[in-house]
Amino acid sequence: MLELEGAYKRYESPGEVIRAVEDVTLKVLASEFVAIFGPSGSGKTTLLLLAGGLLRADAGTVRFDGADLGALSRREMLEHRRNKVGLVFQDFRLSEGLSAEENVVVPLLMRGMDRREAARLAVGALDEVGVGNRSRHSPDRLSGGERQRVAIARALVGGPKLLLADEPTGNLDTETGESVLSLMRELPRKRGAAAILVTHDAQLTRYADRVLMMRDGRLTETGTPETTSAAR
Amino acid sequence: MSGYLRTLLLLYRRNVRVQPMREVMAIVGIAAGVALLFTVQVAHRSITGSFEQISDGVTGRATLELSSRGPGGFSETIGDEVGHMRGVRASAPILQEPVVAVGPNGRRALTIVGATGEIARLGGRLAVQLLLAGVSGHRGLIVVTQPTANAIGVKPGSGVSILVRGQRRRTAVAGVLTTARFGPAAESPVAATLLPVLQALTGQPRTVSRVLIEPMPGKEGALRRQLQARFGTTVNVRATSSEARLLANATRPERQITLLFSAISIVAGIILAYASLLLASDERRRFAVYLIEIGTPDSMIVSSLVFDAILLGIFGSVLGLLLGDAISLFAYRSVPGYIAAAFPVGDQRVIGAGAILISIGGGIVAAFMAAALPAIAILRAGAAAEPNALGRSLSVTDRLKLPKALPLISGIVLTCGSVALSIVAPGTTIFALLALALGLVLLLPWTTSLLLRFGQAVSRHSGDAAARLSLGELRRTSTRAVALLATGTIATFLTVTISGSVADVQHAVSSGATGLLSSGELWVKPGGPENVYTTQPLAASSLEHRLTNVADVNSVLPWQDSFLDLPHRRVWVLGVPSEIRSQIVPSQLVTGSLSTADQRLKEGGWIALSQTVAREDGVSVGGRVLLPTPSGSISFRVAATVANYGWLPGAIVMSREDHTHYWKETNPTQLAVDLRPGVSPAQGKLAVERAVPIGTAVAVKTVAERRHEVSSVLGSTLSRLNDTTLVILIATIASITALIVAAISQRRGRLDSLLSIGMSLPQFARLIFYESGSMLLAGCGIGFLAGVVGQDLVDGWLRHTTGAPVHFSAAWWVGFRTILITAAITLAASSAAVLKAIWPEPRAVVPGD
Repeated sequence: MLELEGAYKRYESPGEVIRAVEDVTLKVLASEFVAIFGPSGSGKTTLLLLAGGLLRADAGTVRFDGADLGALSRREMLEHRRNKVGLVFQDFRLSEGLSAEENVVVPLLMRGMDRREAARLAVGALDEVGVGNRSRHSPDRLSGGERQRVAIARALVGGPKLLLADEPTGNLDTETGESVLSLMRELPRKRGAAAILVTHDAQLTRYADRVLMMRDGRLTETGTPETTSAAR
Repeated sequence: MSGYLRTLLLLYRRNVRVQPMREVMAIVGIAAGVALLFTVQVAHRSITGSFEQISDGVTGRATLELSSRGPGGFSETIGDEVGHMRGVRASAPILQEPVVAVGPNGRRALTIVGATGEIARLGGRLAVQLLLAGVSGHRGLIVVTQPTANAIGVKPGSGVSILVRGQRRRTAVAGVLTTARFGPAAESPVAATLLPVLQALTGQPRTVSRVLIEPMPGKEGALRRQLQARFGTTVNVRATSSEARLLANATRPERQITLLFSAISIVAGIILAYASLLLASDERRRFAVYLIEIGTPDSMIVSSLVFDAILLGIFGSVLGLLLGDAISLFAYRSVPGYIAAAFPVGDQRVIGAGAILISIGGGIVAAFMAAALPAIAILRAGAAAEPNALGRSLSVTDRLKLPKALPLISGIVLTCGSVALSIVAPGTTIFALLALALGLVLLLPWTTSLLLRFGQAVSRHSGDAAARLSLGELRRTSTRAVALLATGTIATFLTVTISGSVADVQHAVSSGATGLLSSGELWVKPGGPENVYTTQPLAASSLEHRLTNVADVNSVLPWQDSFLDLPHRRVWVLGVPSEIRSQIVPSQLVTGSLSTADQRLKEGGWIALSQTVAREDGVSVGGRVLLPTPSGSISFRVAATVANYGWLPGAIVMSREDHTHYWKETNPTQLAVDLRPGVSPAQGKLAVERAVPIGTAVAVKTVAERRHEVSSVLGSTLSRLNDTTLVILIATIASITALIVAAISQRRGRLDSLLSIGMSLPQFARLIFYESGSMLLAGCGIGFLAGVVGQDLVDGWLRHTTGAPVHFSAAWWVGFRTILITAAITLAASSAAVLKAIWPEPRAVVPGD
């Protein structure tokens, strides 16, 4: 479903060139849950952004369902992100002025969906992640775990084929983090979607089907949670 | 530099680095207020200052004067007699006459002073220099200043035409006084010649208009009583500074209202600065908590806040002074038309130390007022963070807990109270307007909350993601919503109030003067806009007779107007021909019966008096008033009270016969020509122009031309106030831009995430526009309503203080224009902010580059 082949991404600032992603090749299959593990600054987030079409590779190709993301126009890329990708952030990125339900409704409205249909889907998504009873509350009245569940509902409500999560448990305690990761593993799989988790916490990689180790922009190791050095 | 100060500077630098937009915007807010305050003061000081330069330059050490009560002057033998009186150290007779100098390059209205060598004994720099320039030149008779010479295109020895009393006289320039030699006073519209020369030019042999007197030390009081007893019946005996007081009185309405608007502008500056400080208050609160956690003494935190306010005040004031100086170069420069017609006022800028000090003081006070509430919030946050380690200063702020409803109640009381107060007592309007502005500001948080609730209810039915998100963002950061609402409200409130009332008063002033003109189809008067009040007699006794004999002319009616100095004001006296059916212009009548008053004026011994003058003298219709005419103090009965006929200090209407009699003047100041039936104004004008003798300097104008002339000259009255709105607009543009850009940069991460989850660029742009535009435009709407109320209050105040028949006409167009401009600025600033938000992505390079 997702294929990166010889992908490069560098950032340039005065007097400095950062090699964020160097010659990365990987495949992610439908329903697969992949964890990208590595220390800070290893290029994990950049790789995630390349996979989601939020950044274009400087060289190499990124294909999704056979389509070369690098060849898409700006509008096509926007459509791709809207319809095929869901994002979950470490700091939730919810609008505190909107209720939980409205936060989930908004991405559907962005696609031009009828507001009643959007509301129906949003309520269903919130129920699915276990915060249906909190749908009228503003995010500032929810716990961290509840906020991240709302964020997962927002990411999944549009039926994406790929869920991308960047340190989604970074602001949560261990127990809450684990329940959130369980959701991230189960819900996409039920829909036949792939999920990519970026983390620097080795403990979290055990939820993944496959773990990719990353260092200095390169993939250094690939395997199951049990076989990679992350497990050690 | 002490370590303490160094630490304060370090904290200040840190704050500026973290929130540069906040600091820039706050400085701009304070600077806008300071710039207006400074510019207004410079403008007023320039009018009175330039007049004083001329006046002092002529009078020198003279402190007393005899002055004529009419344009006819008095005999120069009085001057001789004064020179021999006991207690007189020196005296000098002068003849002062308003003229128009015409050269090859143009024309300029001047006050020409005719003096003898005696004036040198008074030491007046202007008079001495002018006379010296004339004596040394020997090539002509008139001495002019360099700016005048440049304006009309003359030099020493070249010819110049002098238009005086309806005659064109040809003479030559004797000398030109340069600015380098004469200083800023050279900008003044003044010229000089020898007394006999001017007497000949004006056709007034052995006549003077003033005798300047320098009393012997300690003898001034006795001399004044002696002069009053000897000459006080027919001429004014007064201090030489009296004229400056009359000018101050004439400019008072404009000065008061300008100062009022500049005071409100300072309030606007405070609000703009306050709004910007609010924007960063969350970050500053967190920083205060951090400082307390690392053990910073609370005195240092308080000092840091005070230090920030001082620097904000200083930087804002300095920028404001620079802006104000620049603004005063192009705005507020024109002398109001009605003032220039009656006083020799130059257009040079006069900047006093007082204006600079007041402006800096105003800027620092404004900075402290703007910083006070955010500072208290920061200190409270600090106090709450470390309740067990409270220092005294922080615990004091923690105890400052005011009821939440207090701003709402205060706002309602101030808003309603100010309107009621102004209606009951129009004289209190200045305070009422300030209270109204303050009340509006206090009501804004409540209004914001109400608007957001309303918006939320509406957006539930909207399928537009941008609309829903924008409302969510506004609800999340309500301080920003208040700041946006405040900016729109204050900008529109000020613009509508100022522009609306300026338009109303301009209309009142122009309609007062143009109402007079309907009594003739053609008007014959000295040419040029300088003579809008036509107070100089036409030295052409045969003109009336010649025009009567023109075939197309039905009748010629001579008018006699003049200025008369009452103790506190210079009033315009209109001598109306008794043949005119309506002696009083109906639109100008305030109290009394029009028909009775008309009849009484024709009888003689009766006058119609401006309401403001009647109120000052405590006289009403039927009462008696004593006027200091050139024939002596004459008691007139008041037939009616009227508005001011377009001359703000006040007007008096009497029959022409009374004016001729008491002013001892037979020449008219203008002629109203009635044409025979079937003769068009254009035809009649041509016929009358042919009949005007060669050498006269009169112009023949149709009613339409005359109305246009009057409107354009008097329309400049108070027009400088519109310059205030320009500055407000500039400050508003800066504030809106800074608010929107700062709002984007402060939540960059969250906005980026919206783009990441699939928000399109148009949706994103709409989001930014909705959240800024909705509050700004709502603010404009509130500001417009309040502005219309403010306009009505100011109109009432103007009616009360000036007596002008100012009628309220809601400034719809101004409000609409302000809303359009605000929408355009918001759109532009939103677009800029969107570009700023989406563009600065780190630039990627291809491997091998």
